[in-house]
Amino acid sequence: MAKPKTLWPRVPAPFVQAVLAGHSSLGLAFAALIYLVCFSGTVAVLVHDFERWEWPNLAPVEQVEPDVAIATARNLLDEYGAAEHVFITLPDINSPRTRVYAELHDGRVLEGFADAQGNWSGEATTPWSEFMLGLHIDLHLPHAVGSFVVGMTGVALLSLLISGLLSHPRIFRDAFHIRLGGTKRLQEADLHNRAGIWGLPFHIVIALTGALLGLTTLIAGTLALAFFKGDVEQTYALFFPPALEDDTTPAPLPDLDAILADAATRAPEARLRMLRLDHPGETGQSVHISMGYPDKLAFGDSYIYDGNGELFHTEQVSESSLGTQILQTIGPYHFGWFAGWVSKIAYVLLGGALTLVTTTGVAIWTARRRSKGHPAPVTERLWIATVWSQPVAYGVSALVALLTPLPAPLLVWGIVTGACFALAPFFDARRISVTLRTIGAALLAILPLAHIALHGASYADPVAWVIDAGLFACAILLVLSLRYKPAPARQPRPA
Amino acid sequence: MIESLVIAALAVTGIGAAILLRRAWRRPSAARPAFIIGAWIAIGVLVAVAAGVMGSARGPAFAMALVPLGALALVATGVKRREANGRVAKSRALEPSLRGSKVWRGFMRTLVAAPLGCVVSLTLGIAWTVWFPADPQTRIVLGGVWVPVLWAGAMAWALTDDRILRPALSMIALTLAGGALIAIEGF
Repeated sequence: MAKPKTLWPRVPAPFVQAVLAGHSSLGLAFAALIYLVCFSGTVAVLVHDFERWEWPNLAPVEQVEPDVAIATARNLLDEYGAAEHVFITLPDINSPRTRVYAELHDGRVLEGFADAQGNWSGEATTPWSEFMLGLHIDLHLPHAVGSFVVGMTGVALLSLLISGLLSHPRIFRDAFHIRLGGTKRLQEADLHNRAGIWGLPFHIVIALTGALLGLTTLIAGTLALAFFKGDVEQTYALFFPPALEDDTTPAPLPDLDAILADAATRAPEARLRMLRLDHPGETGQSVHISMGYPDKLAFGDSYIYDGNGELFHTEQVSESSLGTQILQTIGPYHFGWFAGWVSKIAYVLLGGALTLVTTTGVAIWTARRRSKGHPAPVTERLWIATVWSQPVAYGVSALVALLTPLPAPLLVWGIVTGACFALAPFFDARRISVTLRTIGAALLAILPLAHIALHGASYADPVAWVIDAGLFACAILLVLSLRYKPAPARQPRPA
Repeated sequence: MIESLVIAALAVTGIGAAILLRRAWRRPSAARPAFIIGAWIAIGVLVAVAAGVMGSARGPAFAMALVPLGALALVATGVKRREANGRVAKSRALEPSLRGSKVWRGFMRTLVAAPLGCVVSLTLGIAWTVWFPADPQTRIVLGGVWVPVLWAGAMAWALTDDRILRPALSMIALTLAGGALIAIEGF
C-alpha cells in the first residue's frame, strides 16, 4: 500500500532525536512532582463535593434569597460579638451551600455552613478536603515556596507538551492507534501519545493556568521590584479594591437591606454571590457585595459601601479591563468550576488522562532501558511506588480523618507515602504494583462503607451517596486493573 | 435548554470530528483533505456557537473540556489487543539522541533551563508589560501570561539543543534586550 500523504511537515530525524532527549530528561526530572500535582488536581476538582461528603447532614440549598446572607451574618455576629472579617458565600452551581468564613479579633477562624434560613449551626471543619486542596495548591509548604514549586511544575509540564508535540513526527499517522499487549514500550507509547494528543487543548490550558496561578507571587514580586521599589502591595492594589481607614470606634452596622437593594438595582441581571463585612461594628467598617452573572466566569460586579451605607467603590465586570477579566477567569478554567457536574466530570476524566500521560511517560523510559539491556530496577520500583502510593495515601488519610480528628490528614498522607517509598526498593516492581493496588482498592471500598456506617442514617445531602458510589467505582476499577496482564518489556537480542 | 443542547452538541462534535479525521486517516482518497478541513471547521463553528450562547469565556471553556473528551472517547473505542509472541518487530520509533553524560553539561543545561529561563521570561514579560498599549491591569496580566509560556519554551530549547551555548547566549542577549526595553520606556 502506498504511504498516505500527510499534511504535517516532515521533521528531520536528528531534530526529533534531540527533542526526545530533552523531553526525556525534563520528564524524568519532574515526573514525581507532575504526577503528584496532576493526581491531586484531579481529585481537587471535586473539593466542594468532598466538603459536602465530610459534612453530609446538611441539606443542599439550590438558591437562597439575599436576605439569608444578612440573617447568617447577623446570627454569627450575635453569637461572637464582633469579627475582623465575615464572608458569606451563597449557593452556586459548584456548591449548593451557604458558606460562612469569619476571622475573629482573637485570631480564631470560623468556617462552616448555614441552612436555608441563615441559621449557623456552629463550626463545620472539613480537614480532609482542606488537606487535598492544599496539597495541590502549595504542597503544604510555606505558601510562597510551595506555590512557586507548583508553578514551576506547571511550566515544566507546558514545556513537556511543547517538546512532546515536536518529537512526534508520526502525530497523524498514529492518531488512532491504541494497541495494548505486544511490547510494554509500544503499549505505553500508544497510551502516552493518544491521551496526550487528543486531550492537548485541556492539557495546555491546565498547565498554563496552573503555572500562572503558582507563579503569581514571583511575577507580582518582580513587577514590584521593577516599578514600585519592591512594594508588592502597590502591584496588588491595581487589582484589588481600596480599603477604608482603620477606625475601631464602635458604630452600628449600616442598613444591610438597603445596601443589598441598592446593589440589586445597579446589577439587575446578577444575583448576590457574596456578602463580605470588614471590621463590622466599627467606624471603619465596610460592606462588600459581589453580584455574579450566570453566563460569566468572572466573579462578578463588586460594590463596596462604607459604614454609613454610602457606595464608595464600584467595579462592574462589563466595564472592567481585559486583564481583570482574564485574572478572574483563570481559577474556574483551571479547576473546572464553571458548569457544575458537567465540567467537573469532564475535568476529572481529562485530569485522569493527563495523569496517565505522566505515568506512561516514565514507563516508556524504563521499558526502553530494559529493552536495551540497561534496566533501571530501582527507578522502576520507586516510580511504581510513586504512582500507586497515592490512592493508598489518599484512602488512609481520608479514612483516618473520617474516624478521628487527629492525626492530621497531611501527617497520615506523609507517613503512608514515605513508607511506600522506603519499602519499594526491597520488592520487585510487579509485587509493589499489585500490593499497592490491592490495598488501594480495599481502602476505597472500606471508605464509603465506613462513611455510611457513621453518617448514613443522617445523610441529608444526596451528594454523599454520589461520592460513596464514586469511591466504590474507583475500587472496582483498581480490582479490574489487577486482572490486566501487562505487556512484557522487549528483551535485548543476545549478542 | 439551549445551553444543554450546546453542551451535548460540543461532545457530539468532538466525536463527529474525530470520526471524520479517522475516516480520512483510514482511507486515503481524493476526499481526504475535505474530511480533515470539515472536521476542523465543525469544531471552529461549535466553539463560536458556544461562545455566543454561553458567554465569551464560558463557551470556549466548555469546548476545551468537552470536544477533547468526545474525541478521546471515540479513540478509546478503537483499542486493539496484541499478543506478546516474543517475535517483536523492531520499533520504528526514533530513539533520543545520545549525548555525552558529562556532569558539567547537565549542570549547564539545568542552569540555562531553570534560572536563566526564568530570568529571560520574567524580563520579556515585564518588557511586554511596559510597552503593550493598554490599561495597567491588562498589560500586567498579559505580561504575566507570557512568563510561563516563554519559560516553557526556553526550558524546551535548553534541553533540546545539542549545543548548550547557543540557547545560553541567546537567552542572555534576550535578557539584555528586554532590560534595555524596560529601561527606555519605564512603567
